[in-house]
Amino acid sequence: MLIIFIRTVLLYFIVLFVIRIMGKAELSKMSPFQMVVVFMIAELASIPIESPEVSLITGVTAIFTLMFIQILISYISLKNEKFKNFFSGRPSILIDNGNINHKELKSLRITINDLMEQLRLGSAASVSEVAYAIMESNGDLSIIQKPENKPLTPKDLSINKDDETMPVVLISDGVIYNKNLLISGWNKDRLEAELLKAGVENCNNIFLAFCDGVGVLHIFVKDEYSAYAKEVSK
Amino acid sequence: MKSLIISIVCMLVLVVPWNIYNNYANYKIEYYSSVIQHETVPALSNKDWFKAKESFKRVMEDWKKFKRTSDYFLNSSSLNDTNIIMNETYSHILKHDEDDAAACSSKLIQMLELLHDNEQITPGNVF
Repeated sequence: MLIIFIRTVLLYFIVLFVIRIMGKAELSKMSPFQMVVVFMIAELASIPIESPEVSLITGVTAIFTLMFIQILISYISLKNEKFKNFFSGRPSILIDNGNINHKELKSLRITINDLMEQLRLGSAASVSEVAYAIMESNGDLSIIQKPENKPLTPKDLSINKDDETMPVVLISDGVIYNKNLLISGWNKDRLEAELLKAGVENCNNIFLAFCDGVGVLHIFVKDEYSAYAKEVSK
Repeated sequence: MKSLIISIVCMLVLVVPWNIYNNYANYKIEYYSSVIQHETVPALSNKDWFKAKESFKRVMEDWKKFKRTSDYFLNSSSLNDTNIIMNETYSHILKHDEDDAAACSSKLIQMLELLHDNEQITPGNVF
């Protein structure tokens, strides 16, 4: 039993290492193939855990080989478009300028009902509202609506909006994130002054404080009698 | 690029020791087969129990060291099976049981060769 415990701990760190090295792109399941590789790694890691007669190196060899192939393919795909298209596939245009491409639908074995369902899921009530529908290489359907069906934006109304900054967390569970203070252009004195203004004296009571895109501080304070942290900045 | 280099290093960390082990295993298996075939089996035929015991003991002692290394690379069940046959052969030699000792010796040679052959890169093993 102790052997299984030790093997599990070792494989946990090996899989963690492999996943970290493979990077976020592989984990984002951008292509079905990447998803399959991640599942294969998980499956391979379980073999030496389940079967003590299989050497750990056997499992690790398979995992490292998959990692190597996957990274190598990703690297070559970056350099070579044809190679990328072969391994990741290319998007298929199902609706082109409002016209349904029935040949493409047939080759992808998608029925009109499937297409309508996907359009509804993508907030398009009917085909007539859609200018372009593209089946991406990961299987998702991207829908670009016709200009007359697109929601109004400040640009349409010629309204000038100020540039927004990235919203950042400044305090989480009573801990001040100094790095985020710097990023958002805040400092500790200004933060403390804002907290006092909102009636918060002790940082430890703050569950979450963040600065939104327009530089407004939002403070959520914990209440020991409630499961909810309430906003006090308003 | 960094992750590609790390993945290549990971592969090398596995492939290089495996190659070293494979060469070492080739040499050791040949040595065991040679000692059993050219020293132990003829000694058994001549009923020279002392020589048979000494030559086989040499193989057994070396095998223990080899098994410790092989545990990292090979399936432990096939290693354990070979280990059992080796102990069985030794006990037959100690009991001066010529027929069983000779039978076990030839079985052992086969098992050692299989242990080695199963890890060779051949179409049969790959597919």
